Amino acid sequence: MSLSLFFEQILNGLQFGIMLFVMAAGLTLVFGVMGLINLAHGSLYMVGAFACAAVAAATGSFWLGLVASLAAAAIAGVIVEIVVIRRLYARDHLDQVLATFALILIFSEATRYFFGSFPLYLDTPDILSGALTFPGGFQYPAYRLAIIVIGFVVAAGLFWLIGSTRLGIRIRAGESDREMITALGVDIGRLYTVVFALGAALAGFAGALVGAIQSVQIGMGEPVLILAFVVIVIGGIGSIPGALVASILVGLTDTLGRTLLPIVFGTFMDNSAATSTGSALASMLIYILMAAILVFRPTGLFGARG
Amino acid sequence: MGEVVLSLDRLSKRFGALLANEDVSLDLCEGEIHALIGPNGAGKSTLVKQVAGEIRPDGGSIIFDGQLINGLNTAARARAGLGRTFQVSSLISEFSVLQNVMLAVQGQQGNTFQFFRRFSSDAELGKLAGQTIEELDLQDRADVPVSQLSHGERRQLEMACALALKPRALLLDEPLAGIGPAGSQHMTQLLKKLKQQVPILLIEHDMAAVFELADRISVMVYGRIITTGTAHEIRNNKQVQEAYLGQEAS
Amino acid sequence: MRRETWISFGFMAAGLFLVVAAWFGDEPFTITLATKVVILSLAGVGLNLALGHGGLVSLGHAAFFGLGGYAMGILASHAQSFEPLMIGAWALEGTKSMPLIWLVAMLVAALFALPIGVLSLRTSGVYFIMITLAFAQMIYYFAISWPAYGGEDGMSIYVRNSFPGLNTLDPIQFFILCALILAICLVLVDRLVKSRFGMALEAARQNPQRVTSLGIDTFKLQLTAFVISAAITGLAGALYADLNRFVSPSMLSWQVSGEIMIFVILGGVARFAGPLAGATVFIALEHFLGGLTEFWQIWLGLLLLVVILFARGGIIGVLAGERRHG
Repeated sequence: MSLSLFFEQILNGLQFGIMLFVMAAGLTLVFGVMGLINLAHGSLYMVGAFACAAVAAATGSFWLGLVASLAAAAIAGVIVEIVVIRRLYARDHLDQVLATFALILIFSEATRYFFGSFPLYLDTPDILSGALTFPGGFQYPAYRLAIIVIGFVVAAGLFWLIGSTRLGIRIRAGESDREMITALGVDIGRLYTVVFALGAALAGFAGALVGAIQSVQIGMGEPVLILAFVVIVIGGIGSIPGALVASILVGLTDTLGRTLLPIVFGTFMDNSAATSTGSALASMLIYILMAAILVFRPTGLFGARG
Repeated sequence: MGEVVLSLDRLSKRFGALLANEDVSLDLCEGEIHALIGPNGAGKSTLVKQVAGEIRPDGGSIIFDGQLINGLNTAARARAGLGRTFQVSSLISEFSVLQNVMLAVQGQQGNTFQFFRRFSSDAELGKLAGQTIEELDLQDRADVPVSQLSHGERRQLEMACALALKPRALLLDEPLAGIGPAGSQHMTQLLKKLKQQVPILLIEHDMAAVFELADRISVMVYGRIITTGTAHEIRNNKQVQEAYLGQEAS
Repeated sequence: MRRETWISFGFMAAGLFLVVAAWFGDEPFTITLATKVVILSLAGVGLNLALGHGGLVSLGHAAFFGLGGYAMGILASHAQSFEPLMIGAWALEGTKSMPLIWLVAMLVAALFALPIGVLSLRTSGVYFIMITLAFAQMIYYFAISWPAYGGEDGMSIYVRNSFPGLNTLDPIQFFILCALILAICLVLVDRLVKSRFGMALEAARQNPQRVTSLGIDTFKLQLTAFVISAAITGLAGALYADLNRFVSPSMLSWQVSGEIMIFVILGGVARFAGPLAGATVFIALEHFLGGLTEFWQIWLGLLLLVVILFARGGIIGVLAGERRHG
């Protein structure tokens, strides 16, 4: 494999990983603060993508679409939180899994009702449509590079939000001691709604960004949702730094695995066998990674022990 | 004093910078109640957990009935004959009193992996459990679910479960806590009677009861046992008065 | 008898009555639909043992369902092509005999459940939900990218497998076969949960600390329950593949895990006839709502939400008018 292909795969892995982080951050926050396992997080990702595609198609501006994705997902998040989710905080995980599974059905079918079954296409914005040439002649699409940068900016913003704002202090207090926070006079119901909406907006944002390189369609949220769960479980549920490390790890493992494993197997197998074995193993790789990590650290890399 | 049943030799346990137990050695002999007292946070709970097998010691050995049991897990220690009650009652709350004790009998017999015969009409389990329940005066409450029992009754039921295991030694973690003067009186009498059958390592805060019951008392402060002796010796021990009783009195 | 028992038997009698009516009315489609309900109920009976009685919330039971399906598909495809299945130097003849296929399906599911259970039971809570999901996803992606048995497209079996003395292609005969298997499994599982093992399992769900302190290893209990549960769901998978004469990776997908879970919860967790009630209502909704509107899943979703939020204890729980755990 040439060096430039390897470099390209690293960047692809980073891009995949950082988008997983934006998606997983909300999921892990919601679990950490409210103790809620939310399968419908993937639906909010889908809502963001559809909002972006619809607004971009109507106005011709990708950037307006991006704003719409944030707004639509946040609003959907607030509504869902108020109507359904807040009744689930005190329930066990089983009820939460089932109720949010029901929400997936509702979101997917409602989207199909409004937008039909065919995928929508979302074009990348014009200024980012070309490729960037690196020293040495290596080229990489500008849009993907932009996503990586945006992802890391979002990550930095999130760390700042949680580390040094009043909302962040409340979120951290909510993670460690729920009674304490009510004692401090914080309106816990509103805090929960805000955290949920924040997570939803991030998911919607990720959906819109990724929607421009893949297609915008029903059910696009679920594969990403499962990967986001893999990320937060590897990172340790509730931990934002854990989610960042785990999402980069998952992104790189998956992307590099798909490229490298068939090559590795090719050194001692014939070509077609190497391709099929390699790609079969590559598609399982992150789940193997997750299982291995949980076996050695049953609460994830950054999870509280015990 | 009778033969040594349980012997702890230089047990140590550290949680990060906190030394919870340091070189703790004590033994429990046939026919005695050996009480472990000490201020809150002295490391008594950590010691109980090490003996029961919930946490592994960093160093030292636990010898039970002549065997080193450091490597056994909690269930295996229970099967070996180490019965225990918990500081906070820990029972199967949707089961009746009888069912809880039947499960204990089943654990004692070690034949849990039977898949077809009905548990509730198992005459053997029922008979043995019934006997234990009578021993503890719970026969009138046999079919009452645990969730409807009073606090004192739960304590009694815990004792019943521990006894149904036919233990070689009992590990009782604050059996008198929160059961009121009458319940306390009742339990004290019960423990006096029981110690003839099975030696008891008793962790307890109620000093009056401890001084009445215990044949020997060990005092734990900051993770170490500072002294062991009879009730009389402990009352008059200067070190204990300073470190513990004096503190309680003030 | 308790009210729940009456309701369970009444429910089954009504179901049988409908099938008999369909048979006399010559409506093979209804009988096939009922067969589907019976098979999916069986998958639910399997999960109910782990999830309801053992408290092991597995979001990966599609793995065992699909493995059962693939066990059937692989054996039957080798029988169909007259090529032996090579496992290393071993040559294994394919087969079209249902009893043999069922046995293999249960064994395969159990053999996979053993290591999955050993590893998953190291974790608990959400981590358990997620690690079981991860193992199922592993197998799902493996099935998709492994070309030998159809890969993503799956594979078809042209003739339904055979059972001595029966014409399995006749819908009513296949239905009776499946219903008998379900009945046997229901009875066996019922005996199991009321046995020494089952009571200890139930106790371990409520309070593992207590059970351990009685000298009973909760890990062994839960692992055994998990493996038996997987074997039953695997058997259901083999039957389901036989019903459709088709097996594909979609049987392994996480939506299937979710649906099996829905049967259990909709019907009532840890209830004798819960999975049957859940699967019946689910399939009936799919069928009737699906006839009325293309977007029937919205209504399914809403119904599920209502059941979870307001009707705790599921259909059987509400009808029996008593709460159980949860």
